[in-house]
Amino acid sequence: MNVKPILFLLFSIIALLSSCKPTIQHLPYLGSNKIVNGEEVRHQIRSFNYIDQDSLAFNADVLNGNIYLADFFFTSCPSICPRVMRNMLRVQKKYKDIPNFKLVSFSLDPKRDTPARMKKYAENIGADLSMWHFVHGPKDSIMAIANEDYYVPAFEDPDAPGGFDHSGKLLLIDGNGHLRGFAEGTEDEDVTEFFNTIDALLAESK
Amino acid sequence: MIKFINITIVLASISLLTQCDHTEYPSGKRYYNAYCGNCHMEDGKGLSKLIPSLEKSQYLINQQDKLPCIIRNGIKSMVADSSSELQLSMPANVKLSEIEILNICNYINNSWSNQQAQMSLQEIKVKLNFCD
Repeated sequence: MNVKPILFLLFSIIALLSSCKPTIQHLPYLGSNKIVNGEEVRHQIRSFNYIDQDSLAFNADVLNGNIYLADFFFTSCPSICPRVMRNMLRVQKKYKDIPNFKLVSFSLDPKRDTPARMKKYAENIGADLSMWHFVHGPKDSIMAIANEDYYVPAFEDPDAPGGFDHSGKLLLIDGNGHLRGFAEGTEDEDVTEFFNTIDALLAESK
Repeated sequence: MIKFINITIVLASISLLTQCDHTEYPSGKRYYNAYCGNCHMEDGKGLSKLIPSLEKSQYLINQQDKLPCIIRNGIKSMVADSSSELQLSMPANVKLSEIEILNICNYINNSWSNQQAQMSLQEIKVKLNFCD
């Protein structure tokens, strides 16, 4: 039996398979599911009613259907925030032309971070306010969504630099309010890899 | 002849590679990264208009006499904007020793294409005596 044609066929198949575009990786849904009325439901960011740097309403309606990247900060934060913001600016630059993609920075210090103060801060770091919202809401409520919904440890601590302890995580949320990915906002390389995660979610929602 | 060229290329590449992470002020780099790097960043570029870049900074060049005091005591209410909504200040680092300040000054002054005269410990002591 002549094996040559079989080998040829085998190689052709391998070549064909390997030339295929890699299939889009479906991102997992993060967070623990809940049982509501006897049914298991996915972890979802709760609806909230805050305001942004222009004192305009900032709620689920503004975000609905948008993929967004969230972080928690405060304008007088002397520790990790500048580094996280620099990485948020990298994300802004890369995705500025993508419609339905937003950046959302929640202030943990609403007492000092008035909308006007956040607006000045935003302008000074070079935030594009057409895609990036700086959010002001009641402190307890912001702390609760940080810890319980976005899984960002955040609490008041008089001994911490600036008065708050928090993590610099960036959270990727899909158009339905589900948590789909995260990165350490203080780590440049982690954020570079995170671009792939963002790309995957954008591809998935097309 | 070819051998000579080959050796030259190899040596040149090695020196190029090793040069990348080279600083004459390794201690200064360590203190800078620990005490200043969070805001001014490892590359000295800061954060847009909010945190000034130290790279080729005219302010840095003009404030050489005050630099040790600025590092130790910070800057109060530096106004980033004419509006009073956002008053920025640089935090103090009062625990830094004179030697640590010396190392940081020399590192900042001679990194990221900055070229300022090297300071001595004596100069730092004198300058710290004239803080506002």
